[in-house]
Amino acid sequence: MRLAFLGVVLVFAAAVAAAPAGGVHVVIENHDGSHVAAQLPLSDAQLAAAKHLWAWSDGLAPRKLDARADVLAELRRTPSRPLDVRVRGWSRSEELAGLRVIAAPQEMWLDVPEPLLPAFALTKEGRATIPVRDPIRVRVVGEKFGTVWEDVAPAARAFELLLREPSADATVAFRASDGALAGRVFALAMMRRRGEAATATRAQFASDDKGVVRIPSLPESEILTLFVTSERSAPQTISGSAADLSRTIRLPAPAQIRGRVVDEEQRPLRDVKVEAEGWVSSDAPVASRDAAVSDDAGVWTVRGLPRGQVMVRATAKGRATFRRRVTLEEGGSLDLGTITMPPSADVVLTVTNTENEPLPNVNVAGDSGFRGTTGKSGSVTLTGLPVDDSSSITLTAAGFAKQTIELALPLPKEERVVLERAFSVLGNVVDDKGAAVSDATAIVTSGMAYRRVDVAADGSFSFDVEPGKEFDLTFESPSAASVSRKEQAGRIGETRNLGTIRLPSGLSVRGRIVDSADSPVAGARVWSVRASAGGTVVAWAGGRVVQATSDGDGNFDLRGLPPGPALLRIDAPDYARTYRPVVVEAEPLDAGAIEVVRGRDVTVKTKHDDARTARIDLRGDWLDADMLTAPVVEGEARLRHVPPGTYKVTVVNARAVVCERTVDVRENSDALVECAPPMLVRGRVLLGGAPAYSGSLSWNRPSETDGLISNRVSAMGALQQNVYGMGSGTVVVPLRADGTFETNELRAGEWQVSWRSPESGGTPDRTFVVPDVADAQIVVEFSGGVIRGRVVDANDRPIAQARVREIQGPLFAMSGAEGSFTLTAVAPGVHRLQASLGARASRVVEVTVEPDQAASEVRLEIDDVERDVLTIRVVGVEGQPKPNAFVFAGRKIMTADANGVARSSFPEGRPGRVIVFADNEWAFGDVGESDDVTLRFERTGAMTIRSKTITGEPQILSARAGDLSWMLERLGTFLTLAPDAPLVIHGLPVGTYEVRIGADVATVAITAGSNATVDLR
Amino acid sequence: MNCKRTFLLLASLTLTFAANAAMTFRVVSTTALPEGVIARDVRWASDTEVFVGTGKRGVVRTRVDSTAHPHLVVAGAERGGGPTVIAGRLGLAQNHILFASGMGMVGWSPLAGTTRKVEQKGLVALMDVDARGDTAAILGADSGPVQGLQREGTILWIGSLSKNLANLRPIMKGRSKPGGKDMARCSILETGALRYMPDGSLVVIPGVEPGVYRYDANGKLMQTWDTDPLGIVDDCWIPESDLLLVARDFGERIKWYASRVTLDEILPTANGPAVVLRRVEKGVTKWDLVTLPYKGRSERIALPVTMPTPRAHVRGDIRGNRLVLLMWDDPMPGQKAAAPPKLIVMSIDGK
Repeated sequence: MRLAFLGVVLVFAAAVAAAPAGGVHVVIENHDGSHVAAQLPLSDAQLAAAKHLWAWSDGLAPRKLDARADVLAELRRTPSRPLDVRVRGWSRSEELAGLRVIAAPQEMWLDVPEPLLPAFALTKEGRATIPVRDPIRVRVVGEKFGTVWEDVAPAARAFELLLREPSADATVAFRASDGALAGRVFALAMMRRRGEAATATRAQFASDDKGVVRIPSLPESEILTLFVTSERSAPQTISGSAADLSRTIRLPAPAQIRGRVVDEEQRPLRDVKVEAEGWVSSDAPVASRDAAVSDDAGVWTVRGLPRGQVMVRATAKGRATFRRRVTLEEGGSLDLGTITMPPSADVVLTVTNTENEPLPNVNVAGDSGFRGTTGKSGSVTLTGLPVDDSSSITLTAAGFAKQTIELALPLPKEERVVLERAFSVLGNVVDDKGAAVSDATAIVTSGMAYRRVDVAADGSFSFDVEPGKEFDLTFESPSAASVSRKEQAGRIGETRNLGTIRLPSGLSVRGRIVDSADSPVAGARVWSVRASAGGTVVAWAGGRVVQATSDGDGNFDLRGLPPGPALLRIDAPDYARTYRPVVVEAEPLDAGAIEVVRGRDVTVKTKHDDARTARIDLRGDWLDADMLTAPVVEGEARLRHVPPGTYKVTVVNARAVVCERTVDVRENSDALVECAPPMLVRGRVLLGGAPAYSGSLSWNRPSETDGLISNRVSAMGALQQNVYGMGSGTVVVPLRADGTFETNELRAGEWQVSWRSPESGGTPDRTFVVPDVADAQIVVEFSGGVIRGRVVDANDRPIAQARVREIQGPLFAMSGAEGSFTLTAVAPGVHRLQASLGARASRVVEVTVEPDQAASEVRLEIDDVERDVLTIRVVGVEGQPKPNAFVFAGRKIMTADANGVARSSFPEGRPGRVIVFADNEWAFGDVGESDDVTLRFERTGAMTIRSKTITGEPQILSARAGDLSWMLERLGTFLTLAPDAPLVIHGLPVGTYEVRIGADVATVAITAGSNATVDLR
Repeated sequence: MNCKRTFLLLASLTLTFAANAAMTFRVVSTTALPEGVIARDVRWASDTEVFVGTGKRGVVRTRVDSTAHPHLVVAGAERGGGPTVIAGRLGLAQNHILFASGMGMVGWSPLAGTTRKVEQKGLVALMDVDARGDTAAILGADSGPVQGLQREGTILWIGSLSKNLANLRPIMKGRSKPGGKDMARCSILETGALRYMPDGSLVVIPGVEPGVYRYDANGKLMQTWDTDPLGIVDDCWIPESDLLLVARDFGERIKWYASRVTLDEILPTANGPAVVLRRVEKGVTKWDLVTLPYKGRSERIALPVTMPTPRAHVRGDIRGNRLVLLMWDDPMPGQKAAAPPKLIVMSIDGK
């Protein structure tokens, strides 16, 4: 079993208790994935088994080393610096006895099980000095107290941890799906801090031989997610507090994929490596990968797979790589049958720069799964390429522009690629005092492309941007205001040093977090979501927040806020979420004391078997940032530290909300919410008083929250989606032919419901309250009128498939087999309907609909009679026909034929005027009552528009013609005025015109044969 | 691997004449693409080959009669291209292939050379693209400062591919303000299209406002036709609630299409554009071709192809006297298509 996450591959691990050896501590990771504490010098057997080791001493920070390295010399070669760790939250030094600070480089936490990591005792002052070199993660464990995992800022010299009680051990006993012992179980511990979108992997643990995993000293109210794998089960994630997790859990049965690989002559292929990879759940950033090798008969089976979508890849030397995406059921077995792997071609790819110098260390990735790196000669041999298809190869190298090439058939034996130097941008970010900002992010936006680049610990940044394109840069840090700048396009090979980017502190809010006894609360996170064009959900999910943490006196100083209203969210460990709206102004704002309360527990009970998570919406707007969540364990979820108030509680399964209740949380008692069992809702639908004949009902819960779907792709190409926002989802309930329906997917409460016709269209939404009873019988009635009718020919024979539409309105229907049609939810008033079939149409019929009256009946007769046709005859000054003239009439632009005649029908009503353009001249005319109008061109004049200062697109308006500039644009002439480029417009009929650019307006009179000048500013 | 790439020759030699029509079509061959392949547009590449836009797989070049070895021309999102490289609509320029998706991304890539760099540009909405010579034409709407749209409301641009469309210039501005609001709102209905004609003129059907427009290569209006006689959806008269439903519910979308006559394609004939109109009768999708000659009367001809599903669409291209139609069934989510996409080659006789 292999797990791929965050670019690291872990192998199923068997941890053995640590045993410090002398001054240097060593943990070996063996080739089989197991970890063991050892003493120096290592024995030959240990060296043979070791893949690498981690070593440290009390004064030298841990390093990952080759097993045969001179450990002490290596440790001494890279100096460490001391980190002063201090714990708070204790009152008597005796309480510190037995407490240990586990501290290790962040990489080591993902490499070595927590029990084998470096641990440090605390002094009676509650301090420990820890040697550090790389960014580290710490946690305190002990009998009474515990903490969660905390990352220490890279340049920090001191760090405070708040001890939390009560804390408890999570002791999870895993069983296989059949109830038997699960064997060795491996667990990755992940956490999502309250108010944060991302779940992060924190530590790893291994079980004993009986499948029991023990995670000590977890603060009682924290929710942990464990990504669990074992050799006898499929990987799975489980979530809960220490109490929730301390039980026996059956792991899901593994799925498997099997198949047989053969060559092009159907001979079995042995030693083909087959891998399958898939995401395990939407709430864990970990993909699972398993592999197998084909036997002499070419047969292979990949076991231990999760349910869901997985990518399968088969690779063998000299054979084209096979890839397929499949979907697996829990415990299922999928046979891919016989897979032919044709011979592959090898292509030697040589990469050079534009000076023809070979480029080593270029990462080369093919769409068939090939991964490699160029050597010193700049070459790499691409293997596994199909011989019957072209291949897409992507090349990336630091300092060079990414390039994708297509290797077309027939595949060459050798190929050369020249990488162009990238356009590099570098600089460093400091705060308003000139100190490096290590937690800053650069957001690079070019067109639709968007990416985030984290700056280094010393505040420096360097990244490549595609040459030739302008881009926007925004630098921001959670503790400062952001800085945005627009950058001109760069050149190939250019290095642009932006120098020092100084992040202003921005506006600030100060305050003090206290409890109900006015005692300071340390470690409270005070944060606010940054304003973003993408909306709150997008900003929050992308981690775009400003934040500060209260110190030992409870004080905080939140910086980087823009002026205006802001909402502060305060999350203190083991306290309820508190909100404080503020209006930020130029002067620092003192918010004073902000009291946090412990809150109460809300227990949610549900009988929905597939319920996964219970949520309390603290602000009632479906924003994930304001949801308290807890996993549903055996039908029950406990939401901790809920502030007093009235809230909406929801329970969701994998797809949608299955329970929705309201809870009133009081100061002095915990609350219980019991979800009703799935309710039955049945009823019928009336449209304007008559039963709906079929169709469906679409039920929605109103939500003002934006939604966001973020995608993550695994190394082999499996897709994981995370959905934020989106409200409550839509329930579609089909109707029977008699207009009745029945469903168990609705919940009590207010819905927006609409009826959808089986053909197309339907009613607008209306509000409907589903009663809170086990068996709800309802009538959903849509008011508004109904128009029924028939489309027939002149002999009263029905015409099917005719288009019935409202003239300048939204009503639309197609006639059925008997020519009949129905329009529903028609607003009261007069509606003008016309039926058409191809070029033939009916008269326009006016139908008056009264509210909630019986259906109006209408007959639309399609015949061959032309109706509502307007004929425009365009003639010149001398009366000669003007062929090809453009005639603007209502919403139409017609072209006159060779005789200068333009004809079209206007069922929505004839236009009052027509405007004609031909041979660079305009003519305006009124239509009146006539259906045959002759429009004669007359002598015209010209207009010159000038300005010494204005550049822009003028609007030219005529009382007789409307917006002439729009018509000119539609004809392909775009007017642009500039100080050195006056505009001349010819062919204007005599009359008065208005010229506008922005706020500048001028009126000009045009006379025949003259050129009138308009001077703007 | 082989089975995935093997195309199946389904049928050939169906003879059909359109009644009383001067233009007739004879089906020469029908070739199915592999099951599961998504194909959305087609352009002739040579007398015997076509480019096919295959969605996230990208653009492939394949023979129309024996398609065992399609060549990948542009790697789509599923083939190592960028995540937004999705080939829904195609345009073929002299040195470039142009592709676009309804998600608003338009991209282009050189046709020659082994190192074909893909360039992309994002719009708020995209209805169709086409290309001729070095020029690309784009029908859609772009973002701006007024309610998220451009103030002036351009819905049609042309620009030079050799200049990476840095010189895009507006050709048509929409009636709705701001910013081609109707185009941004209703482009999801895919009621419009554009196409370069053999004489270099550009024919545009906005689909969200009435009319067929023909522009010359410089963007000057040459000719218009009325869309009323076509009976197609040519406006954005759809209530917001219906539009949302059509956008989010595939079943509703199918019903919406099935109850209307809609435009599937504009074909470039020597005498003028020929529009392919789609209709559904008793669950079967059928197509009519209506000619819009530069001079003379329009004709309506039933195309000799149908698909027994209400979800089928076609796109096509003409080379000489041969028409290639790409016909596909849009399957319901989670279901298989009624049939794999087909390449249907027809000879065109008559005018």
